[in-house]
Amino acid sequence: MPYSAEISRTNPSCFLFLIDQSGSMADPWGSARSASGESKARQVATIVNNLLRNIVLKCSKDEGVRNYFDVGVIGYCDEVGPAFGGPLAGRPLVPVADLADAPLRIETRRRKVLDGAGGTIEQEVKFPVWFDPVAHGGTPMCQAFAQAREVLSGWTDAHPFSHPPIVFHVTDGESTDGDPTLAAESLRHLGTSDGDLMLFNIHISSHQGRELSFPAQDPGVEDPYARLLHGISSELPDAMRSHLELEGYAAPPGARGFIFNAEPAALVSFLDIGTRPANLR
Amino acid sequence: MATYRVLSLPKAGSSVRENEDAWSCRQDPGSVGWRFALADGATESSFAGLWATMLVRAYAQGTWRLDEEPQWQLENLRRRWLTVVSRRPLPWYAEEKVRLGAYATFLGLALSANPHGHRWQAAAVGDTCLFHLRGASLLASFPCASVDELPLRPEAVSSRPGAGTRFLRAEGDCRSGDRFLLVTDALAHWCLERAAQGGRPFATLVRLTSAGPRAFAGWVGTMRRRGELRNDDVTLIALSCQEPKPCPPS
Repeated sequence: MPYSAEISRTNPSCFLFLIDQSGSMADPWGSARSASGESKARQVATIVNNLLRNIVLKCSKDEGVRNYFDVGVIGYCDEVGPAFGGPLAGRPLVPVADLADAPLRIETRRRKVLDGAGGTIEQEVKFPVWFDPVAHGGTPMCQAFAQAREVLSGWTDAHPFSHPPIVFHVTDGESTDGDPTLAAESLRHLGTSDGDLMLFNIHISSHQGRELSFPAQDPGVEDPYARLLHGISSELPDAMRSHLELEGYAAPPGARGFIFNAEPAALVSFLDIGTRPANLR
Repeated sequence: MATYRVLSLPKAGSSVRENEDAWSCRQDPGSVGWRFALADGATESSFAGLWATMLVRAYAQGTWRLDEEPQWQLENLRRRWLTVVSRRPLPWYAEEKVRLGAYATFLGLALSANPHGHRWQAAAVGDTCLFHLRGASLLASFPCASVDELPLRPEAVSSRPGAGTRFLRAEGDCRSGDRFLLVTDALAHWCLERAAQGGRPFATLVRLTSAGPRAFAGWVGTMRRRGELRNDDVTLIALSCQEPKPCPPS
């Protein structure tokens, strides 16, 4: 059965985040109801940094951090390249133990936590930051997929029996270097004995519009860009569909890893579910 | 009034020190009887093996009585766990894992003798299971009676101060020659699945108990390779009830 390989220190898996850092990411994100006034670039950076923190915590055990995953962030705007700052700058993929020990900086933030008596209290937590928001230039999506392919073909060669990599592509705009369909297909053809690489696309919205989550067939919208992103998204494996349905999303058989006009909350829950290991040992 | 044997193995690919199952047993200081405990530290939490070990020892020694309210003995254990894990400076991720707490499923079994016979009492949180056997008959399966009752996200005892703990309880009579098998979740799943298919999983475990650790390790390895047993820490406590020995003449 595909996507069932055990994830262990000898057979790690891999997450790669492809982040659109073009100029339009400086615009505010979210509908009037949910908008915080913060730019899309800043909110995406917070969400992805928080997710990286959660991945480190999942792998943290008594003796240190176990290398269950290799993780990378590639940003694309005027240039395409690894987006980590600080000691990890320039590295497209790093073992999770390296990620844990080398953030760009550690901030202290306040967040609400359950107080154990039915209420919430504010608590200070350490919030590591691995990459900062960037927003300028164009949207060279074809180049971004090509670079992801280059990085991950080396990884799949080195880990032929591992759970295959998952690529999360977060964008708010149309490609400025041509139709990305072929580059995306070429990326999706990578894989391991456990299955093909999974490419999930999240389009984030600057304006109010109907959110479209995990459609199986034709998304049924006029927008040619939505149809394109849907067409290059991988089908969700059964375990991920079950988790999404538990969270209240409709994810029928054949549903694809694709959200259009996503609000911040939808990005958070999809990334959380998509990086939840089913078979960590 | 009991003889027992314990067999325990870590996940394939993990070292013996990384095994987060913990067990303990002791003659009950308060009565003619024994107390056995088995706990399974949650993989997702840190310092869970230590937490599981503290729980089973406290139960076996009688310093953690599960029926006390408020649960000040459990709160004492939680404070001790926090003291031990905070002894040295921790990196940001370990500090956060300490804040999130450790979790362990738990099963405690007390055997006692009285003029009318033997009695067993068990308490459990989560999916660590007990099977009571008389010959080839299964008399009790606790806290899960079938594979369907094994929870996807089992409850666990948390090291977080004030966290609620909901014990399930069972009890019954037992007699000399009866066996109890206490197992952590991977083995519980295998037993209940095989039993549902008409197999004789408990006879297999009794045989492996007699055969010893090498035979057990070989069998577990084979079952894991075949995909019949989940790759998880695995522990089996097998105990037999016996007539109490008469007190030596004073």
